[in-house]
Formats: sequence, structure tokens, C-alpha cells
Amino acid sequence: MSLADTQRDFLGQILASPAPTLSEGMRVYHHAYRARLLGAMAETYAQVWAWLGDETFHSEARAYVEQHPSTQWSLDDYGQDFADFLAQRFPDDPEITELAWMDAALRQAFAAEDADTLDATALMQVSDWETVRLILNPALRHRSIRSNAPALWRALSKDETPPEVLYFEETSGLCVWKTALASRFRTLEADEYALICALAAGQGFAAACEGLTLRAADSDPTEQIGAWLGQWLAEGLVTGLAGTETTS
Amino acid sequence: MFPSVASFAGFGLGLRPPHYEAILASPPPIDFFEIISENFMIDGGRPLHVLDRVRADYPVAMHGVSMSLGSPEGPGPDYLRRLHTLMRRVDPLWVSDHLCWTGVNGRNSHDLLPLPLTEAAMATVCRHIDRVQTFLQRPLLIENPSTYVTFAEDTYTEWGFLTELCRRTGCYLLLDLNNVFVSAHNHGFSAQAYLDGLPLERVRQVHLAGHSEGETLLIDTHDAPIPDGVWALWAKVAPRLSHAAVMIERDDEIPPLPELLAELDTARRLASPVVYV
Ligand SMILES: [Fe+2]
Repeated sequence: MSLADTQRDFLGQILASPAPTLSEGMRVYHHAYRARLLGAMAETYAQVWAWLGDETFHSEARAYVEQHPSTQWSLDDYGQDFADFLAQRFPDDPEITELAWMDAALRQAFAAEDADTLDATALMQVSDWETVRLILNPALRHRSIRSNAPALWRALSKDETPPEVLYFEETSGLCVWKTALASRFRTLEADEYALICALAAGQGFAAACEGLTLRAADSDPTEQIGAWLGQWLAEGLVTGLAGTETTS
Repeated sequence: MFPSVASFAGFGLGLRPPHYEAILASPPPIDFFEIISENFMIDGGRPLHVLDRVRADYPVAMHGVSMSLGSPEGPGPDYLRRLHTLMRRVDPLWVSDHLCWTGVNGRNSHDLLPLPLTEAAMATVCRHIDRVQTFLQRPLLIENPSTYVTFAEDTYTEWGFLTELCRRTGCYLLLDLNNVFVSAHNHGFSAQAYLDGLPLERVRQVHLAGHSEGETLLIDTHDAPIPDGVWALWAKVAPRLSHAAVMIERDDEIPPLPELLAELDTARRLASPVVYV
């Protein structure tokens, strides 16, 4: 048998589920594989774990591990599809998959590229608003949500009793990013989130604004967008401006 | 060829997150830190900032667990690129990984799996060590793993295999005495014969660690204090390894820093010549 064949056979025994009859030595490897992946998931998905409770979390994580062999060298990247897995398992409880997404996104944001926040005066140096592009925080991850998962996550992370679960008619946006080495998150109502999505997809600022029809018909779009922009800079959601001449 | 890896004699610890605050608040009296390379092969975040501050005060050794030198494909380009980036940032004493494979056909076990000790494995490992050493422009240190099975087709002893690796690739050794102890128990060879068979002058670093007991096997868990058997091995071989950097590997059930510093004192004491009064 070639070396590669021996290794395929060896790894096959480790991945086999349920465990075949193995020698004590092979059982050590069979067990260690699962312990390591489950340990990584327990670390990443702390708030889903708290929400589901020990028994449900562990049985879901074990089922996930058996169905998802690791394909990356980095253990940190393992379990990225757990939120989708839970969405299939609990289709009527969107807060579960949303909590899982938050756990994973906050962890990814923590290890993402760092960026300094931009001073608000940078906006005054924009000479051409038609061509300017906003550079979003490199740690930004976002998705739409329809439960109060952020409030649940906050309470669970502080070991407090979580509020009652709420489901909303209209979806909102959830953004996760990082400033000063700390991960953070915020819920965005639909209009603000639509604009962030357009910018994240690579649209220029003017084009993204043009594509936006505010749902609140009585609000002045220019004023509203200006207010958002100021907030994005202050909270580090936007960390740079490009495609225009700025002096900094 | 690349420059040789200079000896660094000293006593150190692994840099682990539970100790970050304590280390930054009051740098402990040790000679170096070892990092798990993979934990810092990231784009940003607090761990890299901690590492930069630690590196300002201490020499740092880089220790990897994912190079998979014994798998047919070896380490991939993304892994090597990130390792190289970290190496340039840290300017480490050296870069080490294990005599093992971690996966095959795109599947990863995240474990240090045992190699059949054959000519085919020798050719594979040498090929990957050569490739990595050329890429990094420096020799690697290769560590002996703890293993729980051996293969019927083995034609080398593990120490014979490591000796030949050094000869063929110019690599150095990271000698883990706990792993020698564990594998000697599990496979019924003599730890003394193992140490006598190794070119100890190629050893640049020594790991001391604890293990746990399975049904009949010992298991390398790095979650317990160093047991007497491993201390005895260290006391015996220490006079021949006075040129090496020695450290305690503790990855689980990590105790407060003072406990590890006390263990490191024991390692120092056992290594110093006995003084009669
Ligand atoms: Fe080790």
C-alpha cells in the first residue's frame, strides 16, 4: 500500500461514524478528532450554547461535526456553516441561526484586519461627491435578521436573563465590525441597511444614494444620509474615503 | 544552503491567552516565549498586539502544528505565505513543526497523526522540509510527536528516522521529552535508547509537559503538571542539552503563571550541576 493509501485508510477510520471496532490507539485518534472540533465550536458558539442549553447544543454540534469534515488547516475557521445548519434544524426559530451567525461573525471580526477610525473632518475634504467611495471597516460582516437576536446575544453574553424572543414583520440589518481591537455590533433599520449593503457591494456613494428610496416619505433624504454618514464615521463603520482627492 | 540555527540556552514558557494580562503587567523572569504560530497567522486583532509587546522584551520561538510535512500534499501556499509573514514580523529564534501528517485529500484531522516510518515517508517528509526551508530561507526544527499506533511496515525507529532527516535536509530537532516518555510506554521501547540514538547536538529546543492515562496507553494531553518520569528523563539528559532552550508546554487546564514559573524553576534546578556542601 502506498503512503497516501495508508493515510486515506487511516483518516477514514478516524472520520467513520459510528466508530468502527478500533484498537485502543486508533480510538485515541477517533476521540481526539471530535473533542478538538467540538471544543472549537464550543468556544466560537458560546451564546448559541447558552441559548440552546448543554444537551441540545452538544447534540447539534456533534451532528454537525459528523456531517462536516474539516477542510481547512485553521481550526479557527471550522464551523462556519453552523448557522445555516441550525437554520435547517430549527426553521421556525430564526433567533437560533441569527445568534449563531453573530457568534461566528464577532469572532471573525476579532481576527480581521485592523483599521483606524476616520476623523469627521475628512468629509470636508471631499471635492467631488459624485465619484467618492466609502471604504467600509475591513472587519464588517452583515446580514438581515427578523428576530431580536442582538438583544438576546447581549443578555446571554453578560449571563443575564434574556428578554422574550420577538419576531418582526420587517427585517432589519445587523452589522458586526471592529474598532480599537474590540468587536462590536449594531442593528440598522431597513433603509440604512439597504445603503450599507449597496456600499458593501462596491457601489460608489452617489450611486448607492440614488438607488435608495426612503420608506419614511416625509424625511429629507439628504439630511438623513448626512446623519448616517456622520454616525458611520464616529463608530468606525466607515474607515476611509477613496476615488476623490483628499488632503490628509 | 541556509545559515545554521544558532543555539539559545535558556528557560521559557508558551505564550497563552490566559496569561496575556499578567505578562504585560509584569514581565516574568524567563529567557524566551514560544508561540503557537497558527494562533497569530491572522490579519489583525489583539493577539498580534500582545505578541508585538512581548517580542519587544523577549526572544520568541515559533512552533507550528499544521505544516503536515508527512502528507502527500504538504503545506499549501496560503499556509506558507501566512507563516512567512508572521516570521518576518517576529524575527524568531527558529520555526518548528512536527514529524507527522495532519490530513490527506483535503480533509484535516487537526491532529499530529503518526507516519509509517518507511523510505516512502522519508522521501515525502524530506521533500516537504526542503521546500519549506527554501521558502523560509532557514532550517526548520522538527519535533518528535506522541503516537498511539505504529505500522507493521516500519523500517526505521523514530530516532533513526529523525537522525536521517537531519542528515538529509539539514534540519534541527525539537526534543519533546514527554512525547519520548509517552511513545516509549505506548510502544515498549527504551526512552534511554531513543535519547542515546539521537544527534543531541542538533537539538535546539526541549519541551517538557504532562500527559494522562488511557486504558493501557499514555496520552499526550498537555493538561497536567510534569510527572516524575519526565522529570527523571530531563535530569538524566540535561547535562548533554545545556546548549538548548527548554520550556514547559501547557495547553489545557492552564494554571496561573506563578505555578508554571515554579515548574520552570524545577527544570532549571535539575539542569544545574549538583552542588555538595
Ligand atoms: Fe511538544
